[in-house]
Amino acid sequence: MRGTSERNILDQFCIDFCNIVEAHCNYIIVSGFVAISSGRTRATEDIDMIIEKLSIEKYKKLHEDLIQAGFICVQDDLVEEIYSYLIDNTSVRYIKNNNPLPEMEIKFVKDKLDEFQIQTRIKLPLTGLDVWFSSINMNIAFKEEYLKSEKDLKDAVHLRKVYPELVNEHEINNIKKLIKELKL
Amino acid sequence: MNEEIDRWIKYMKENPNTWREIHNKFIDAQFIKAHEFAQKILKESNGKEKLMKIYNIKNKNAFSVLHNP
Repeated sequence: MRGTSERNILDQFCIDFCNIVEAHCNYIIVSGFVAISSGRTRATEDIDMIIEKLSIEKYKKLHEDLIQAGFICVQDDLVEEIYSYLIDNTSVRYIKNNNPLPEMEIKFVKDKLDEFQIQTRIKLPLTGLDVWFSSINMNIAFKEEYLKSEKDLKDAVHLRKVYPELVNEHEINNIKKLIKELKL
Repeated sequence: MNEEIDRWIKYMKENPNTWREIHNKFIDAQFIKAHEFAQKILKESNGKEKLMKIYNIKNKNAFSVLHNP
């Protein structure tokens, strides 16, 4: 079930964004795009990313590099304003070359579970993408225990079937317990 | 409930060299359509404002390139 090197629009958008973020901090791609880049056939408008909490000085540098590469934040141009959203645990969205879609939705790490997700991040060769993802067990646990929409439950089914060798029920159950403690 | 997932994963496993091309076309189609839609809306009067509402864009500098290609 190997992937190929050919890119779709969403893949290329993700690579371009991640290459810039990688130079500034640790990050993970989470949720829908993990399933979609692993072959799930469904639509999406955005890619979700969690990044380490940065000082405003460091965030300014990251934002400037993103702007330089053709990205624009859809909420605001003023970096202090964008940073205030992130500090308030609100996500901010970037688009590229003024195309309304796709969007990269980023937020800062906000609790121990997010930190754990970054510590246990992985690369997924099947996707053909050299970017960091939160683990398969983490994504399954979030989709089954926290997000729970029909779309998310089907994403979890897809991940379970595409990556049986990575699925660890004991770990998924432990993550679900942490989700109940920290998120619900 | 998940028959379509099973069917597609079976195809992925049986066609490791071709599934990605089909998948890429599927993923690209929505963005190509969205871009065509945006171009059409931008030609309307107040098109930029309309597009900003549709996509919940607050930054007034967004769509400057699309607006003046």
